[in-house]
Amino acid sequence: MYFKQLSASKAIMAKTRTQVIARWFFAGLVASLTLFVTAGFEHWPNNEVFIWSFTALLSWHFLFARRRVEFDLDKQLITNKISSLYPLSQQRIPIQNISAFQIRRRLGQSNGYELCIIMDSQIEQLKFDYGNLPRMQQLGQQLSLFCKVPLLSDPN
Amino acid sequence: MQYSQLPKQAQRFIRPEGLPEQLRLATKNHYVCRGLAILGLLPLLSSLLMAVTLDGAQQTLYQFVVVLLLPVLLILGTLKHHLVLDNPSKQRFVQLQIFGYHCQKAYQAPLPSTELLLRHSSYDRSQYELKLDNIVYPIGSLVDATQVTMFFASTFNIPAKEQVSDFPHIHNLIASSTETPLETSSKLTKTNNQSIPDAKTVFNKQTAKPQNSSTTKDNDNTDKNKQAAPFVPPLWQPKVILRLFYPLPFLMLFGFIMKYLGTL
Repeated sequence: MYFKQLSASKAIMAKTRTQVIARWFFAGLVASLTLFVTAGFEHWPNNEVFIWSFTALLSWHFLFARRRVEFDLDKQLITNKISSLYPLSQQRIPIQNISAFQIRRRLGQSNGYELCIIMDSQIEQLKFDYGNLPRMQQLGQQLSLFCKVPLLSDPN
Repeated sequence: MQYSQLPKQAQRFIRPEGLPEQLRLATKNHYVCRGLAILGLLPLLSSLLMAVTLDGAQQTLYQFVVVLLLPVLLILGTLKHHLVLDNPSKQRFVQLQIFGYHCQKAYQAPLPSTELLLRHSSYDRSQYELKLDNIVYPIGSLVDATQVTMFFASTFNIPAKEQVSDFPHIHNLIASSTETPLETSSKLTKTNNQSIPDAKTVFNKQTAKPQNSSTTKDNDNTDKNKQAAPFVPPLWQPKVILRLFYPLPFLMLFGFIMKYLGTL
């Protein structure tokens, strides 16, 4: 996902066209196969149908799971939503309570980094995104500029 | 401050040998070498066992592995990579030591240019860590971390800074700190409540800047606003994992309906 500014006060985290097409193609393929096998269910024992339902659950989330991130400077809010046709989780982060964005190394990974949000109202940091260092630095700088919040980019 | 006054957590990485003239601090590379040496013991010992119990070509193979691994692990185990703070020469440098032989000094720089920063731990903001040059040492409580920072600052005359009282801005850490407010802050931190405002008040007391009544009122108001701010939970919580299974009964029902329709 990359940072996309829509207007002076609104921005989102968007996916590239390639990511969207690849996801729909593979998720559609898996979902079609999962549905296709149901045609022969009369020969399947009950326990296999039971196991199939778990595979179908995976393909459901592969097809429908979405993460939407919206930045709204007018409302001073970052909304982070995960849904899979139905809402799974939601974070509403007040921008005025953000002390800083911080890039830190992911535990147990030498080349993995994560971008965290440090709030002045709570001890727990909020993990925002992860990836390699150049990508995290670029994203961190974009968020820092847009939200006017300092970025701590010292992963040591 | 004396070495014996340092917290135990800090005494693990600050060794008394050579103090107060010189301090050798293990770098990240040092710990990586030690870690690899310890990990390498596993294949070495198993190869050694195989070399003893097996015979023929297999024994030769494992003997060869042992001969190959042994010197590598010996080197890794005895290798010492240190950041050296040297008072007589007023320099800091990185030095490799192998079998007691000191290699060439690298990254030499004057001692006062060394970065000495007290800050929140990157992984747990209720804990504190010390950044010295490029090495980070997790310390624990604010009192301990401040003591260790002041130890480095006073022993090696390095300007100490802190990123706690006015996060994320960096300020000088004042040397004439009284221990009483720090101790109280530590107790508050241990109660696992808000450590950030506590630290803020601690350092405000230390810097002892005179504040007029209006500014203190403003600070009170902002503090109230911050306290009123809702707690933002992490995006992925255990209950979210449970929610992932919501469609399961319907999919199961669909599967059994398809099976039933197929038998009709």
